[in-house]
Order: sequence, then C-alpha cells, then structure tokens
Amino acid sequence: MSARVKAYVNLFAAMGVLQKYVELDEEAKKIAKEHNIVVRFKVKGGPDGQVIFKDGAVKVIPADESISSDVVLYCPTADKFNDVVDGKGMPIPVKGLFKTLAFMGKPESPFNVLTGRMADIMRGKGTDTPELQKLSTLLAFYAMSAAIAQIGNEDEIGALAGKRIPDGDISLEIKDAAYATITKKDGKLTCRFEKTANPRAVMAFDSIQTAGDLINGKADAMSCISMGQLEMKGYIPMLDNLNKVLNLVPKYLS
Amino acid sequence: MKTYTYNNNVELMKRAGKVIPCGVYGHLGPAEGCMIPTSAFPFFVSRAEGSLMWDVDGNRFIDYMCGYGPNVVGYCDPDVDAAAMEQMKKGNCTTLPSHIMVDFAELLTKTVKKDWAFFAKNGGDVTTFAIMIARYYTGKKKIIFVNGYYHGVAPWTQKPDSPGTLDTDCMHSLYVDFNDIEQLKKVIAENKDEIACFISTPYMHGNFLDNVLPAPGYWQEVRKLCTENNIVLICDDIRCGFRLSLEGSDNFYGFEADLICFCKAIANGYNISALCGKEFLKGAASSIMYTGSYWMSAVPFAAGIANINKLIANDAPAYFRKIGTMLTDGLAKIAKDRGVNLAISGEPALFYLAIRDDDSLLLHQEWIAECVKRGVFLTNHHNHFVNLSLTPELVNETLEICDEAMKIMVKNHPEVYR
Repeated sequence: MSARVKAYVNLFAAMGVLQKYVELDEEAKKIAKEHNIVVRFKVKGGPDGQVIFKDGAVKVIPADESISSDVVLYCPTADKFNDVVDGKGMPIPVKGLFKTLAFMGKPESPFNVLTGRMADIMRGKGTDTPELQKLSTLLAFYAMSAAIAQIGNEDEIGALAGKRIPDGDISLEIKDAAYATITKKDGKLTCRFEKTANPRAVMAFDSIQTAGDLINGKADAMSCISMGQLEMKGYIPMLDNLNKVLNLVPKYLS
Repeated sequence: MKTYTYNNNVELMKRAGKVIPCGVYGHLGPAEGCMIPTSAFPFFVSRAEGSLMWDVDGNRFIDYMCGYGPNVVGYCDPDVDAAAMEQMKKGNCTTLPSHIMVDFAELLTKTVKKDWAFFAKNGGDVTTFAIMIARYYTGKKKIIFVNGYYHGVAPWTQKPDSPGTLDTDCMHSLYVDFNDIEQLKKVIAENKDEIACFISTPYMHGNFLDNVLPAPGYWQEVRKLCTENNIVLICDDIRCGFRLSLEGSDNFYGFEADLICFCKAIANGYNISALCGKEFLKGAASSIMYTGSYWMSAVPFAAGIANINKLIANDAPAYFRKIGTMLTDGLAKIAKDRGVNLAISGEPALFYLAIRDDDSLLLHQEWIAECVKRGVFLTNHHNHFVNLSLTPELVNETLEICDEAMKIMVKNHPEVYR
C-alpha cells in the first residue's frame, strides 16, 4: 500500500465525508455551525487540500489559492499525515498557531471531536441503534465513492483502470437513500456527493443493508448482481474498470 | 404479446448463490454485463433443442447465443449425439487414447489446411499453448495483443489490475489497435528481436463496441511483418471458427496463420478444443509437456467428427451467411421504420447489435430486455450466433418480437424519439 495514496484517501475521502456527516447528524451539524474556518493540509509529495467550515456546512477541496486559509498545517511526509489522521501525530502549523490549538489542539477540540465521532460511526463503534447503523453505512458509502476517485487517480494499479474509464458520469446509488457521482473528465476522476442528471452508467444498491454488506466485505459485488441486489446498467466498460478500482478501496480505507 | 416471469429462475439463483461463487460465474452468468437488467433474463435452462431453449419456468426462447458459440448444428443434434453415444458405449476416458483421435486429427487438419492438431478442452488451453510454443520456438518473450482482445482468462491474457493477476504476468504484453499497420510496425521496431508472437482474432469482435472487419490488405501486411521479424502469427479462431469458413478464418481472409486455435463450434458443444499448426512448429509443440486429465477423451472426438462432417455436407458457412443476413436485414428494416439508429456490425454469422441513439447504451439495454422477456434470447453487448437448425420461420418470429420490443422501447422514450 502506498502511503502517498493513503494520504490522498485520508484527506479527500475519509475527511471528505465530513460534508455528509454534518448534513446527516444533528450533533455534528451543531458543532460545525459554531465554526467558520478554513484549514489547509499541505503534505509534501502528497495531497494539498482545504477543509472549509462555513455556516454549518463542510467541504473538502483541493487547495485553491483564491480561498484564504485561516490555518495551514504542513506534514513533511505522507506517513506523518496518515499518523495525524490516525490520531498518532500532530502536523506542523505554519499559519494560525492559536487557531490550530483552539480548533484541533486537544482531543476535546471541535475538529477532533467531529472527526473522532465520525470515524467511530463509520467503523460501527457504538452504532447500536438502527439510525446509527444506517448513518454508518451511508458515511461508508460516501467514503467509498470518494476513495474510488482518489485511488483511480493516484494508485499505480488503480490508475490503470482509472485511465480506461471513458469520459462521463457514473452514478453510484443506494436506492432512495444516497447518491454519489464519479466523473471522468480530462483524464481525471472526481467525486461529488449528489445525483447526476445524465449518468452514462449506473451502479445501484437495492438497499442500505446490501450496500453495508458489500462495504463491510460480507458480500461481493458479482454475487450481489446475480442476486439482483446490485443493479448495473449503462456503459458497462465504465463500471468494469470502476469495479477494479473499487477492489482496492478496502486496502486504503480501513 | 405476453411477457415472461422468472420465479423459478430467481429461486434457483438464490440456492446457487449459497453454494456456488457468484451463483453462475463467468460469461454464462448475469454479472458480466451481458444480461441487463438481470430481472429481464432467465438464469437456468431446463432443456434445449435445435435453436430453442426452455428455462426452468417453462419459458421458450429462440436462442441467438448458442451457448456463446458451441451450438453450431443445433442443440441435441441427432447425428452428433448419436455418434457421441455410440462412442460412449465403447469407452471414453481410457488409459490409452481411442484410435479415433487420429481420425479426428486427420479430418481436422485436412479441413482447416494445417499440418497437425493438438487437442485440449477449452479455448484458453489452446491459446495458452500457442503462446508457449511461440516463446519456445522463437526464444523471445513478448506478445502483441490487439486492443479489445479476449483470449481467455489465464493471467497472461489479463491486465495487471485484474483481480488475481500480478503485474509481472503482464510485463511482456504489447498492445496495438486492429487494422493499424503503422502502429504495428512501430511496436515491432521498438521491440526488435523481443517479440515472440502476434495473437488476434480474425476480425475485431470485442464486446461493447461495433465489430470491425479487416481492412483490405491488413492481414496480408501483418503476415509479411511477422515473417520478416520471426514473429509467430497466431489466429484465435475460437469464436469465428467453422462459422465463416470450414477452412479456418485465416483462409477466409486470405492469409496463413502459423497457429490457429479452435474450440466452441468444433464439436457442437462436446468439450474439446484444438490447436492446429504448421509443420515448422510441430517440434516445439512436441517438446512442451502440456496435457490434462480429459484431453484425450474419445466421446468429444466422435462428436467432433460427426459435427465437422455435417458442417461440410451442409455447406454450413454459406447457410450461416444467408440466414444471418436475412435476420440482420430484417432488424435493420425494423429499426429504420421506427427511426432507431441500430448499428449492425461483424459478419452475419456472428452479428453484433448496438442502438446508437445515446452514449450510455441504456436504450439498447432496454430494447434487448424487451426482446428477451418475449422469447428472443439476445444479450446486451456480445456478438450473437446462428446455427444450422435456425429456420426462416424462426427468423420471422424473431423479427416480429424484436419489432414489438423496439416499439415499446421507442414509446418509453419520447425525449429521444419524437
């Protein structure tokens, strides 16, 4: 497993799911509403992105110089950044030291509370109610979708399949519950957490249960198709190659 | 027109899923993208005869997949089956091969105009053996593939990102586009004295794209380049073999392959494949230890002899062209009348269909689904097959169903078909 690719997945997929977490969880939304802040993570030889908290919403985007960052955190290696995400290290604040300390300096700091709770839910820790189990699967679905784009762009093997995905939108769906769109354009894959109006291919789970079983490794995609639990339609070469990237997701998104 | 339901099929698939990976794995299963949506397709057959099959719900289908090729004279053909049954009484998988192996090798080499025949079971057995022979004979490692190829499921045929494949399995693979001689010349020049073989189907009948016939002079130029550069020319005739010509598709397109791979239509569904080759490669083939438990079983040899004799007696390729053209002309007319852009490509015996009014293939998938639910078994994105038992009456019935299915698809999409 490449530490560099894991860093991309950690920033844009694992942290990227904060967007949906604050939308779907009232407590998370409450915390997010209290902070309007832009945090930039710069990883040497790896990802460079901004986590934007604004009016109770969160977005994680590739660094955009036109958006001023309140806090800039630097990691000298991808491994160091991955340690930060795992709660085993601290990045180097190069801008906004005091804001850094206030926002993420301690375990009880808002950023750490948010990401810690989200990680617990995604790992199924303490998800003893049907609502929390549903939230866990939905967040895992969004993380998986975002990870596909990162791995298909950055992983050596994943990029082979990523390159072969023809241009267009792939709709990933949990019927009536969640939608993500993977777009291939200009040789790159991107992910957004919304339904596309013009999918060129569709991969749709029939239920949250099926999606959860697949994400947790209790079921495989091919069997789900045979059983009618996973519908695939449209331009199948897009999905064939996407599936090859999907196979690599558990390696990075543990 | 009544549409089918598949309750027994679904129940059986649920049972299958518990004890068989994927329920039905591989190309016959619904997970490979050729049965979309899966709810429109049956999964299990109860019996088959001629060009027809009945599923476990009792639904009757005119079958244009022919077992993905093997059904070439008709399911349960009385002549082929009688020969197989007769041989079964005399012995099948025996300590020494039956003498009829020699009879079959003589018939096959004479028919396909090659010097020797080597028998195995599946197409992948013989494409793999062809590669081994080429590498051993030339002392070189690299293989030139044509983009969009399918030569089986062995690791050397895969891409490094295929599950179960190592990047080292593919480190000697080179890729060119079909019909692109300049690209081929460039690849050969860049890998001088490293290329063992060029492997290709006689025309590009890959899935998900319109099939492409060889441009005039293409194969002759490939042959010349291979000869000049000591590259073994391998024709993978597993899908086309015995449908375009009984002499092998290399002869059909006017060139001579060094090695040619047959399977599917060789014995009307009895399990046998063959690699046939030119004299200069017989020594290499002899030197490589390559065998399997059932490769010399006699029943498939008997079936193969009866099958090929029947194909010869009926001038089968001419009939396939005629009946395939009747069907594809009929489909083209239906599409034109309904304002649908239906692309029909490939040879009439193995026609490929695709509606080109969207870039997602969703319209095509809907049309095929409506055909299947009414009793014409087509798949979404694979070439189809005809066989000797297919009658003009069945073709007319097919066209009637395909027309109704297209009418429904068009009606469901006023945003496309105004």
